[in-house]
Amino acid sequence: MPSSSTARRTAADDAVQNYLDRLAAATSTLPPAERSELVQQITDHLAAARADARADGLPDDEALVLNLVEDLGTPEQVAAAAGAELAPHTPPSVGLEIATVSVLAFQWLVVPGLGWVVGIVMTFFSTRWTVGQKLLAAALPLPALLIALASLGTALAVPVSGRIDLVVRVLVGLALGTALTFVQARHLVRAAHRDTSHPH
Amino acid sequence: MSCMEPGDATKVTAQLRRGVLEHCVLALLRTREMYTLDLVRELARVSGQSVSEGTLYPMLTRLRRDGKVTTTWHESASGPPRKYFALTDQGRGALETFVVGWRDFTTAIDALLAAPPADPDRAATAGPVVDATPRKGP
Repeated sequence: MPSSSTARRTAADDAVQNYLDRLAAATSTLPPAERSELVQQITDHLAAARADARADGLPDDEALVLNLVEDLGTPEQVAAAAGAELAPHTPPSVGLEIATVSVLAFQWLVVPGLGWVVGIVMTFFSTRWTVGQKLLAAALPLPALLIALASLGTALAVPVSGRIDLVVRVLVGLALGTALTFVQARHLVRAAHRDTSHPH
Repeated sequence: MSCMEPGDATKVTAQLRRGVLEHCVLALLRTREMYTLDLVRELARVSGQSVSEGTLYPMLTRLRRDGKVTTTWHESASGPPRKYFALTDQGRGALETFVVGWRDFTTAIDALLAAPPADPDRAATAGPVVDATPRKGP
């Protein structure tokens, strides 16, 4: 290969790299996966267009690249199109809310009390719940707690006729507490989902 | 009378083109797979001078994510392997739905634009239908 041809290719390569660098800078606010896919698409676009030009016997020089880049639009235009197109289609994430509800509902099974505190702290980070819903989330362990206290109270206050009676009371209490917690948790997760489709 | 700026007509056309562009992709792919570069250039041509080729890639990405198109790589004689777009069954379904909707829509709009005003009294004051285009706010 003559050196002049090498020099021309380098100038064209530099022009490509310059555009890709500007595109990378303009798309810095896009999610990383979207950003790298877009930069890859534009990289492929320019490489293929240059290969087409060579196949047609046209010079693959800086002027060609500058033309190709002009047809692509400015990096800012491409970035704006990506922002408008992709942002509304990222799936609504209610993962935080589901995790929070799980921590609060199942805290009895891990470290009672500590899980409650952790769950309440987690509600502060939710952007999908209103203050009222956050309070309801914080109150998730309450039905189970109240029923535990109530069965303890009745066990102490009312004379128990036998072990079977005590076991039945505790089981009924557990079932009620679980059901209430479940209804409350379902309401909260639905509320988080609703907020994604009807923002207020 | 609304004062229509010279650029407004092209702006309206550009918006209309923008709105149907994704279905133009599906229509272009109806009979054959298309190589990305050809597809993007064809689309930019369809959507007029105002659309830059690079701005079409995010739409293609979304169509792929929505499952309306798939991409495959094919070897190329003149350079690196090339990505081809093809229509999926879901994309074909979306296109058929669009075609039906488009026909109904254009029939209704054509009728609206062509019809003389229904009320003769109002017609005298309201003027031709063209003047009823929404005005820009202050």
